[in-house]
Amino acid sequence: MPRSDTLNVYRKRKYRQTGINLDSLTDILANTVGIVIFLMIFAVISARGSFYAKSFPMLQDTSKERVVVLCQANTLMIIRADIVIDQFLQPLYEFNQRSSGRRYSAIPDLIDEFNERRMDDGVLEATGEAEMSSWSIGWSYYRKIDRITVIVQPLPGISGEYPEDIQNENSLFRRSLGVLDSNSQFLMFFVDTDSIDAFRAGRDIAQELGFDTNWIPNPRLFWPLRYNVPFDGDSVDSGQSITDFLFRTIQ
Amino acid sequence: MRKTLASFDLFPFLGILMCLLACLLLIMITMVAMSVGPCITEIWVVEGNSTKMPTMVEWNGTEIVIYPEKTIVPANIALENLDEEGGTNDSAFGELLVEVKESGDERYIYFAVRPSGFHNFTDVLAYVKNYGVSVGYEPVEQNRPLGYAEE
Repeated sequence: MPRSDTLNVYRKRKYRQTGINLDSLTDILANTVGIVIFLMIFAVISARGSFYAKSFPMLQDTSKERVVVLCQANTLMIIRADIVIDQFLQPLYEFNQRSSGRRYSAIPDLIDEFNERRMDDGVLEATGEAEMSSWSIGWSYYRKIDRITVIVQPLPGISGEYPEDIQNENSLFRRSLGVLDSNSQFLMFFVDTDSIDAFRAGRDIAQELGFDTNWIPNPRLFWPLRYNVPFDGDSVDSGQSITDFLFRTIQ
Repeated sequence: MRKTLASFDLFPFLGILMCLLACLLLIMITMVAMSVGPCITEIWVVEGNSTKMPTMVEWNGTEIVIYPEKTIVPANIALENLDEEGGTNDSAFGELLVEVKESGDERYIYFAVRPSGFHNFTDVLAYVKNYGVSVGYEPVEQNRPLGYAEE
């Protein structure tokens, strides 16, 4: 055989022997498909549902004082608007104790005091708006209180806390709980539609600390709250009315 | 005579296999996303030793869904004629209230409240409380499937 022919045969054979063998790749792929199918079956089974052991608390009557926790925009904030308003109106209660004649002469000072008065509880701030009118008939002068409005809103820089924020020991929520008494007070969560997570997080912490809790659906509350003090003749009695107002406003 | 080697061309097979793999991966990722996302079914199970057994119903603003059969009763039918004197109606919910009331201290109604039902849930609650049965309630995300199982 001539040498050139021998070389040609050798080249052809060598070329055939170096062709890509896909058997290994096929094995790998087939195994991968098998594993993926296994994982998929597992995922399907796990995605059917998760079981949650859950307590199903019933409504119970309580004589404890209600403390409102506002849950909106997925944040929580304990608000004591009733106490802030009540404290803000202290001069009015003192005014009511006076005799009719002394009340009459004290009206201008009272109006000035309410227009300048400001107080807060570290979370909410209360300011006032007051108006009076005066007139004369013959030699007699008259004056009366037309309106006293308490304006309540969060202090600047104070806002609700997100569920992850209240896990912090120094969170405002935990600090606010720290000054409450679980034996005489319970937490009522007012929950907006977007704040279920915040409510659950807050409730868990409250229950850990021994507080009774309840919740009620509540539409978004817009600040500020404006509480118009109801008048009864020329005196003011706002004890129960503040609660009524907040109940109507918040619930 | 020269022998010819029979050979298979595996590329079409590999192509099909790769497509299958991609499809399975897609399905798997979807399922896993569902399992960690909001669509997972949350199945509530009574915890511990409860003296009273809850019967779960769902309120979505327009309908009452009675678990575990998931019987749907429109609100206007479910709450019709309910009053403090024991007046009720022939709907599945009316019958449930009668059963629960007659059971005394053994059963109570537990509402799972969807956000779509937040605005009028207090009205429903007042109806049921006035009827004289014990109740509890819990909010549930709008699109989360919900199940209930007794131990």
